[in-house]
Amino acid sequence: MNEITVSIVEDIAEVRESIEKLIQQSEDFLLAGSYSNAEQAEQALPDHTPDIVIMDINLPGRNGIDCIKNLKEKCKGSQFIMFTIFEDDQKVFDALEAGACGYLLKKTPKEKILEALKELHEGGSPMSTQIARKVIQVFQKNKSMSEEAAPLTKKEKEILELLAKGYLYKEIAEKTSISANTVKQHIHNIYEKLHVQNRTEAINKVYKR
Amino acid sequence: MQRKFFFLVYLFFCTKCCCQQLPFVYYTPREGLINSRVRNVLQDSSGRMFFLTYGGFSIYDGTKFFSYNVQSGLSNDLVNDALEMGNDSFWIACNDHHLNILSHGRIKQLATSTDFSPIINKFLKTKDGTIYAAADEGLYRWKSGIGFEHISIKDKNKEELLYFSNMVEYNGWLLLSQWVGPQTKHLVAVNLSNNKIYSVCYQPGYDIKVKNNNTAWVSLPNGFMEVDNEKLQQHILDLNPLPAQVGLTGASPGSFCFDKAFNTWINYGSSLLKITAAGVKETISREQGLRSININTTFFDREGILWIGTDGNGVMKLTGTNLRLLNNFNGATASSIEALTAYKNSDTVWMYDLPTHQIICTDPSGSKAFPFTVDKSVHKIFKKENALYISCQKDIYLIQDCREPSAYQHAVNIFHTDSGYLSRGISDPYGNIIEIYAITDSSFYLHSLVNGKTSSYTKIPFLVDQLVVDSQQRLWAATRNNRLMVYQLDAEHPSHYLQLLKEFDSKELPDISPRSICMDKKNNLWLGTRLNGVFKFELNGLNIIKQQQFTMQQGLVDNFIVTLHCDNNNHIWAGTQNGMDEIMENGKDTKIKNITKSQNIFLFISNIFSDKKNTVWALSTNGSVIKIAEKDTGLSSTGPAFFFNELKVSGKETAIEPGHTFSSGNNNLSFSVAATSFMDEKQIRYSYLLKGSGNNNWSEPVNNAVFNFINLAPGKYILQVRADFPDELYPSSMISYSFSISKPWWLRWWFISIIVLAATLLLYFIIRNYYRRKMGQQKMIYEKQQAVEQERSRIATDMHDDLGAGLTRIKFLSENISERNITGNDREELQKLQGSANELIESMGEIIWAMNDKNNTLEDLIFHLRSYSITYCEENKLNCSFNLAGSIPYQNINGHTRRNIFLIVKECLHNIVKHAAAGSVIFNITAGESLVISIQDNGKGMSNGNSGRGNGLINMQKRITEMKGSFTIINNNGTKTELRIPMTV
Repeated sequence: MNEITVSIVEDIAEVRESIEKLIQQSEDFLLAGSYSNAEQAEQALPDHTPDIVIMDINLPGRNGIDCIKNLKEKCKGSQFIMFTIFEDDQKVFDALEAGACGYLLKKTPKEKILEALKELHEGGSPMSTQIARKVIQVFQKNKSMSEEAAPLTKKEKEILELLAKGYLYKEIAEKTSISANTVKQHIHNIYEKLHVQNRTEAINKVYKR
Repeated sequence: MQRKFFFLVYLFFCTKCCCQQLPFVYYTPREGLINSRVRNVLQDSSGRMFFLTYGGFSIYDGTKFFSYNVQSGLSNDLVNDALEMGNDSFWIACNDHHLNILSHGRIKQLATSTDFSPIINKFLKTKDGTIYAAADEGLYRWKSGIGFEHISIKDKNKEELLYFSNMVEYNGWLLLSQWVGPQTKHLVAVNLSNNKIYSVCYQPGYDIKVKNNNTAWVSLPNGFMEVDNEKLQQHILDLNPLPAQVGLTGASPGSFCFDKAFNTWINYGSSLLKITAAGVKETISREQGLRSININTTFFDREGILWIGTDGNGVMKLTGTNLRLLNNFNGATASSIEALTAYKNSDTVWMYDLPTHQIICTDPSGSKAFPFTVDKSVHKIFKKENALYISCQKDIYLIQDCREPSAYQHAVNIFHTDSGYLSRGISDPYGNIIEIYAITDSSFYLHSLVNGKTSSYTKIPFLVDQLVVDSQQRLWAATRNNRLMVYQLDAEHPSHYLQLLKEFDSKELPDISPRSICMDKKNNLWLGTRLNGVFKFELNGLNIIKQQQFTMQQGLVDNFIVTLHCDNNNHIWAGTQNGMDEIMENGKDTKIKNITKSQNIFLFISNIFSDKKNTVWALSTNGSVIKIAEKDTGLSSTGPAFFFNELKVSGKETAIEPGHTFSSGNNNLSFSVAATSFMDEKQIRYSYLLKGSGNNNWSEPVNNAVFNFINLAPGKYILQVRADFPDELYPSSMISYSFSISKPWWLRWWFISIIVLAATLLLYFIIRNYYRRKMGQQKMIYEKQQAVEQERSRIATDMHDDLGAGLTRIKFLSENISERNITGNDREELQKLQGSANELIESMGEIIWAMNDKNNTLEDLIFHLRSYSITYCEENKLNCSFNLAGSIPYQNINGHTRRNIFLIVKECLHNIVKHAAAGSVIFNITAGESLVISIQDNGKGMSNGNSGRGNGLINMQKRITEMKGSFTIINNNGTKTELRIPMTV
């Protein structure tokens, strides 16, 4: 089984080192690189295109969100995962919109971090109630203007709505008769569509004024 | 106006004359005339009288004298003549070298280009409109644009003739006379066609008048002559004596004039002589009531009224009247007529004059007097064919042939009584006599004398004052005590001449105390009473039905009706103790005319008769006779001018312009009107109707010609004034004047518009200001909120970035350390450190969540609660079911409340996990007016012994109180905690 390459962008040395150590100690993951700021990461990452990039949001200099924006196109094979303290932060949503596929809470115990990374790699993304609501808003708002942008499927909509109402994956899985993993994959897809939405909107902003 | 008339009738008999007092009306300075020395009287086209005096002139329109003298702008007080030039515009000639103009009530002097005006004595406007002036400087002709041009007239000595005073137009000639000036008086004729041919007649003519358009009369010191028309056509002025039958010879006449009937009125200075066309003369002097002995002028106006201008006594007016009060039939001594009889089929009237003991017989040809030697009081004369029956109190005498004067000397006594008295009788159409015969004060009979022979007596219940015979030969008599009897007259049986047909009882005749009786042509019975005027009854067979009552209220002069009479016109004449009235029924209208009162005569009328010519004769108890000839209907058919003569606005005289608008302050208007009828101008009654005032009724007619309107409201008005002429002399006349009173400025549209506009603007600014301020406040609040939010998000960011980063660092550091081989206390403490770092992160997350304004709805809160609770339960191996009842209303909840609720729920869950040892939790949430959250576990329940719960509960209590909510904890198969938070918080 191929190891999953992971790069980490984190300015706090202790945290970075802790994660580095976690990755290095694990069997399934391979540490591809470790950067203390966005600039370094932007320089190095396009050459590596690791499977997963763990990205802190608050970085000195350019922040994590901008970093993702810059790297998203350059590192097509990489999945960006935000490393955050609070999951319902506006910045988390901004990052998700910019191209991140999920987020990882810093308070998460170490053993669960690896689990989450694996899940993400397999295409499952987490989504909190607040983020789900924001996503719904984005799709509602862009409904008219985004004809070329990918619309949400019925399932995705259903899942989003349940998420927004505070349901857990497990509950959603029960309600929609699919597995919790499938729910997470749907969420992943929703994120992808959110990226498209975001990009379309950006293009529209530039060209269709 | 003082009106004291005494009427004496002068009747021109073959044998004797009698005199009458004429009803002169005087106008002196007391009435408003400017001066008592009146020189000339004129009338303008609207009928106003001009009185020219030695002290200015007055214009009288029947209501008011408008006077002008030097103070009013006249050049001289001595006014010679006036000439009407146009609409309310006159030339006034004063005795000086100025020509005055009176225009619309104002005097000014006319300036001519020649700047010369002679002293004009008389104006004349010829038929072709040329104006001539007879002046002291000679004869002048007016040329418009230039002035007066002199026409030279010289006598045979080539001397210029001056001092012309009189002037008339006659057959294409001007005839002029001179006044008594320095020159010898001559008469002059000037040809009107060229003004150059003239002829001088060396006769001292004084006054010239044209009579009936075909002869010109001249007064001369020795009488009258007329202009020789034939010679005049040959350009020679000569005079001829008047035809002899005119009877004008002798004496030295002054001025003279003709009336409508071409009677000549000659002024002899102290008296006037009227000579009729037939040559009958009538002198009017002091004896006839003429107050002045110095007459200046005489003038007949359009109504035929004679105006006499006197020197010192003002103006006297003499109107024609059909009423004559006769009280002298003997010339020398005053008559006292005791009995009077007239018959409807004859024009002869028989009277008995007590002082002279004469029977007077009057007919249109004159009157004759016959001595009646029986020295007794006569109360009635009856005539049967040519025989006269003279009824005295106790005797009746017969005069066999009344046409024979000697018969009066041989009157035969045909009835005598020693007891009782005869009084008040009547004769039937055949000459049979019925009289009232009173023996004592309580014993009364009707005495009848049939065929002059047979006497009979019929007892009657009480005294009767008047008898009447109707068309069916029935005699009606009403007693003073309300008994009415009707008798059939049966001449076939002279001894039973009176046959009672009916005696009406007191139910049929009301208690009216009858004093007089008559029957009209329509067979209505009229009863005059002592106190209640006249009653009219309709006859239905021998029943009477009351129809009407006439009293003073209806216009009678008195309610004591002494005698009643119905004339040939079916008019009822009522003689009262105060005079006589005529009651005329015209369809449904009844008119009462005060015959004597209108002439200021008040007499006790005892008997009334009318003759064949319908002349009414009335006898009064003082011996006077009133004769009322039937009305002369030949009076002017066109009514007099009727106009507004004065308008005062708020006391100030103002020009009368129809349609004028008066300002709101000038809303006290006083209108004066005048009607130029001088027959009896003070009896013209005026009434008005002011349209626009809201009162659409005519006012009560009054003698006052001034109407005052005080404080008229703004609006449009039409004032209509009606004049009703006395005795319906003329049809009623009406004039109107439209005017309006403007609204005061504060009620005008522009002012109201401005006010409305201003109010609107003001309101607009107030509202705008209000909203601006409100918006400003909202903006301030908003800005404040924004600032708060900014601050909040700054704090959140700071917490997130700095505290979060720091805590994360602590967490990872402690984790790193714990990975090393640390044991015992150190590890325990490290774990605690780790735990509290995680806790801190968690609670920081909660604070940030609460601070985030984007999560401020109830929905956000509930979903967050759900998410948290389920996650928490799962982490702690609890079955969790979260039920939401109904939909969630939209509701904002501020961060603090949100956090409080969240923390309470969290505390509950925490307690359940820690202490309850429960296996499942059920959440029930209801969102309505209050948010109700019930958390039910299936644990061991709560007991007071449970320690460690105290602080949590206290915190919960504190938080819930802060939100004015409540919570209850029930132990029932576990614990049920119910939170109730009012949503209005």
